[in-house]
Amino acid sequence: MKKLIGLSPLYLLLVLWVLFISVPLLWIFLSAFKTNAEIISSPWNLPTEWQWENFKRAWYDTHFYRYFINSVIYTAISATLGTLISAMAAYVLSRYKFKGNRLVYMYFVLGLFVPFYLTMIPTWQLFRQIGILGNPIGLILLYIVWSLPWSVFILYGYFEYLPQELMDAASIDGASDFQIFHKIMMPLARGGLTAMFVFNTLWIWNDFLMPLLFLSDEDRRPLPLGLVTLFKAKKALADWSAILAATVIMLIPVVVVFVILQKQVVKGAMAGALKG
Amino acid sequence: MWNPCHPGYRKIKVKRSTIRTIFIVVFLLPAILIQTLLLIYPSLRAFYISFFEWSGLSQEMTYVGLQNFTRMAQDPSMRVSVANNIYILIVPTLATLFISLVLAQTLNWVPFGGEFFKLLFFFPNLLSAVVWAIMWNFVYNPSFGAINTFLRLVGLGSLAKPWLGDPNFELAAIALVMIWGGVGWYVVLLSASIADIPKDLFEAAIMDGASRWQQFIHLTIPLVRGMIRISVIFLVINALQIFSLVFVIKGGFTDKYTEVISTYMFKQAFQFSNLGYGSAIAVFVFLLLLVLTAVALSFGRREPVQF
Repeated sequence: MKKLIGLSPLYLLLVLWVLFISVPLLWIFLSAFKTNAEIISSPWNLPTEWQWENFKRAWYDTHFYRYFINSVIYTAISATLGTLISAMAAYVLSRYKFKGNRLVYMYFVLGLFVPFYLTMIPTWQLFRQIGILGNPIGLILLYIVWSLPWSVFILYGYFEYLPQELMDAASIDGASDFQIFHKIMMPLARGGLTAMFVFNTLWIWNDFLMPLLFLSDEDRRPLPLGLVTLFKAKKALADWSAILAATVIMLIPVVVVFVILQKQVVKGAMAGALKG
Repeated sequence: MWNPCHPGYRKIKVKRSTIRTIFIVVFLLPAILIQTLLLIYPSLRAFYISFFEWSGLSQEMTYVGLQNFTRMAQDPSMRVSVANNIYILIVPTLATLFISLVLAQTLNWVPFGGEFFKLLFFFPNLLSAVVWAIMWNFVYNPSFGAINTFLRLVGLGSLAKPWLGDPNFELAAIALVMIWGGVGWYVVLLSASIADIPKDLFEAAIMDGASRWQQFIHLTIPLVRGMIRISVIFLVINALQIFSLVFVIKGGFTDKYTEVISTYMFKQAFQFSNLGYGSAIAVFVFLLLLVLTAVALSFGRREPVQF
């Protein structure tokens, strides 16, 4: 009993922080189901009638479904390719001895010290010169390249600690380098690869700056940029509920994945900043 | 039969090593090519452009030497952006660090539910900065926002303010959002580090009659200083590169009360077509990041803690 009393201030502190985090989120979530009049007149009540119509309006009126599909396509392609290309490079660098190995590794890690802002203007110039400014291909290439430094760095660590014996055994059995990579090393590094894939998916799904710079075409926008477009347009019309509904739509995939995978998502989002 | 003395062995070995070289090159090449074209080359190019005056509309670039950099030193708007960014650098960083340490330590002390709380704390980190910005734009809304309506509800209506329209509060309002969203990440980072501290150290401290606060200050903080340093580096990098939150929270624009270095650079480059000057600002941010990271890395560098 005495122990419980001693613990109560600790739990109180934790609960206070949970409240601080969740109250704004829940308030937004509930407001998304209200009419515009209700949002203003009774901000702290439950919706009198749940307005599913808000979601319909957000989804169809403003190309929001288009943004959603774009985001799914861009994220799926870039996160997959980015993780794969990094895994290939990290694998070779961590498992094969050859001249210049260290140098190539440093070349990738160097990217960790470069902020995107430094490359913004030259990249814009380059894209304009080769004619892919406004083209999703440029955006996907950028997502791949900005996944590289961190992914190579983390995956290098994963591959380095995989057992050498399996590789030798397979090699003696006549397996080719590619087969060893594909059939043995990739499955063994599944944990690291998944974490890296989750990490890349998250930042690409959430990114706003790159499409802002490199995609002007309305129909090609991904969700974050589309949401801001909708935010500005609907704000002018005082259609608050549509903005909130759109915001909730953008949250749903993240929440669903988070509830299903929980710890794996946290691990992925931390991407190796934690050992183990 | 595998026999190194067999005359064919050498041939096989040569063949095998050629295939291996091809394998290594094929696996490295895509990454090296894209890294060179879209990361290393543009970084170097930024330094080059920063010595020119260039509108971006034509190919014509005028060499101006260090003029873009001297202009930066005299530009009052740049000074305001730097000042605002220093606020964004210091206030949320210190607050996030302190709150995360306290919460991580608390999680370490409670006997059950720790993992569950950690997951809840972490959640805002999964959301886009755009979502943070739009959410909090509503929470801060002067007429129907969560804060002001709550204050009126409990009879403190006189404290209600246009949080994002009052020069005294705008930066603090943004800082609060950064703390709200950022703490969870550092809680996970620091709590893992605190969990590595041997339990008997705490037990010994309790035997000596140390209060929880004393254990926290004299035991935990010195022992996790390595992870604190890493956290500071992450926080500084994020604060210097903050863009989306600041850009979106007031409705898609920045003014002199919320302008930070990255948004000012964006403005100069893509709205005022001063790409040379914009590049100079980018170079400045890069150098600042390097210096601050180096300082953070060397700061308090004593022998690492080993258990």
